[in-house]
Amino acid sequence: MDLRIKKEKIKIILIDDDEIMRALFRNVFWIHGDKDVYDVKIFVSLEDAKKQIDKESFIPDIIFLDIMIPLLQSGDCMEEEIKRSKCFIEKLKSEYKYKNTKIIVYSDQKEKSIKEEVSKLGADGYIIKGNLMPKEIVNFVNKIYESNNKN
Amino acid sequence: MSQIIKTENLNLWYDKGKATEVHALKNINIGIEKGDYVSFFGPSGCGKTTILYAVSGIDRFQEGKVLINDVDISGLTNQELAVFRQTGIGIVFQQFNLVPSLNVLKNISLPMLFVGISSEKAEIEARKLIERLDLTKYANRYPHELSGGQQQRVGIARALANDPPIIIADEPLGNLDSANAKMVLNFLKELNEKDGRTIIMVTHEAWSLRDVKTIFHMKDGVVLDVEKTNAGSVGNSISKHLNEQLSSMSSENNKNVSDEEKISARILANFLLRGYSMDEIRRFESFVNERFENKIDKKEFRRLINKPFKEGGVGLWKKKAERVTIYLESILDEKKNVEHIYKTLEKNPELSIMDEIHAIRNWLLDGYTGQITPNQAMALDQVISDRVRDFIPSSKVVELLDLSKNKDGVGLSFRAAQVMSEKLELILNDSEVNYNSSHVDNENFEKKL
Repeated sequence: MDLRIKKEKIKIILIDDDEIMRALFRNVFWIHGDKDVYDVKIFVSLEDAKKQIDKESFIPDIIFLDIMIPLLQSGDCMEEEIKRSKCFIEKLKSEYKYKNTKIIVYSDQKEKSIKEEVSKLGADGYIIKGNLMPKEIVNFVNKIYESNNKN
Repeated sequence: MSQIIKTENLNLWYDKGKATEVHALKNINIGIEKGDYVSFFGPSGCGKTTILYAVSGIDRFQEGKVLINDVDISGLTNQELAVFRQTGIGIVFQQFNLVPSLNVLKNISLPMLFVGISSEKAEIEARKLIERLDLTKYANRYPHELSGGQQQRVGIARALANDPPIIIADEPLGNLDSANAKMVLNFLKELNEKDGRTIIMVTHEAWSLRDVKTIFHMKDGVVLDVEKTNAGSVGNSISKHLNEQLSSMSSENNKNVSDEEKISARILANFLLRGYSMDEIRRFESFVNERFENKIDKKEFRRLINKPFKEGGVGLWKKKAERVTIYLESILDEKKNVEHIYKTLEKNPELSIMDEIHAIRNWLLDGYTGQITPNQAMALDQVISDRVRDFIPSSKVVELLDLSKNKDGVGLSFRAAQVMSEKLELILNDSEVNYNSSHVDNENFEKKL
């Protein structure tokens, strides 16, 4: 599929407190792709992302979610952070308007248990942080988008 | 096809507002197509390197725009710019610029770690590049344990680390011998044709433009014109742009020389003095023009090109000066035209100064029974280079060969230093001595080390 001929942009959200990841996501889609094909919104916290997602007009195609993001002003433990992310996934998956939104969880946690847990909640994919090369991120998004649209 | 790089009224000053102010780029408006192989070509100081670093986001420009895939990079934050420099472009440097304390594998992995790739993934990707560049057996070696050609291969692998769509090569052949220079050119061609990457090369050596598809001719910070070359027509194309360059040169000293002869002189200077500095090449070119005009005879030409550079000559050693003089006389006798000269030299260029130095080094070491490390070989090359160009007298050669390795000398015994210095003087002054420069086998020499 030639992604450039589609009328609407591919809407992507990244939620991550890691500055490098945010800068990478802001750049990689125009470097390796086409700035007119992707609409990338970047958030540093779940609260910020929720505000944007609640706006009717922006229904993302894909959300990349770091499983562990601290609250902006809080020193939560790891379990709390994971719990909040899980709630976020659960809430989104329960709403009809996000039925086509794919949620890709990523983390530097290699334990299988987390992968299984988020999968049970309805997450559509799980990747290990730092395992995708910049260009592979773009290819990964294209692939998800294409298979989503085929279905 | 879409433009991957575009500049709009790009202006860049160094030391703006100071007495030393230089307006290095003046209203540059160019477009580079995705998948093109371009070169910025022009004399030293024309702005060709500056434009490379401006479009790479390394040099900050004061006016205008640089658009990469239609995104204005002056609007990026420092962090975004850093990510762009790591993932959008890969730079191959003349001086290789490897990190001395990291081995080959780590040098290649480094740009990936900068953008958050995990160390496990970075190692997997770096090993793929190591294999592609035929560096497998050097993966755990450190830069100082590698030859110039091997270091440049590591430099290319590192430039490819984050799989960038644009490759920038800044005089990538400057420190390489012929075999390695050809290898780098072939690889740049492969990156362009096979991978579809956009290649931008800066060079002052006309022969290295052989695979380039678009040439931006530059002078005094301005792009004079853009030229599309056709496959197989680089000879014509280079003649054409040399002609254009020459037409803008002062013709005061050359008013009796025809354009054809001026172009011949420039081609000869570029091909016969490969690896020399622009100042040395230009001075050589002026003597060739004088010879063409018959202002000087064969003997005087040979004397001038043999005379040390600081005394107004070119500083070619006696044997090379003789070889070059004989070649020039054959061109004059047979009245060869520009096309003929270019084609002959393109097929069989004069060995670059690096090749000559390696050949001399091999000849000097023939019969030497001690062990020489790669570092010592490099120090020896430097001494040979300085002596053949007449930068240092023969007495200094013994001193440098004998000086300890820690003090940037070669670290040979005094006796060995004396023998080698005498042999070197033989090469420089006796045309009967043959160090077999046509059979340089540098790779094998490296294996012996």
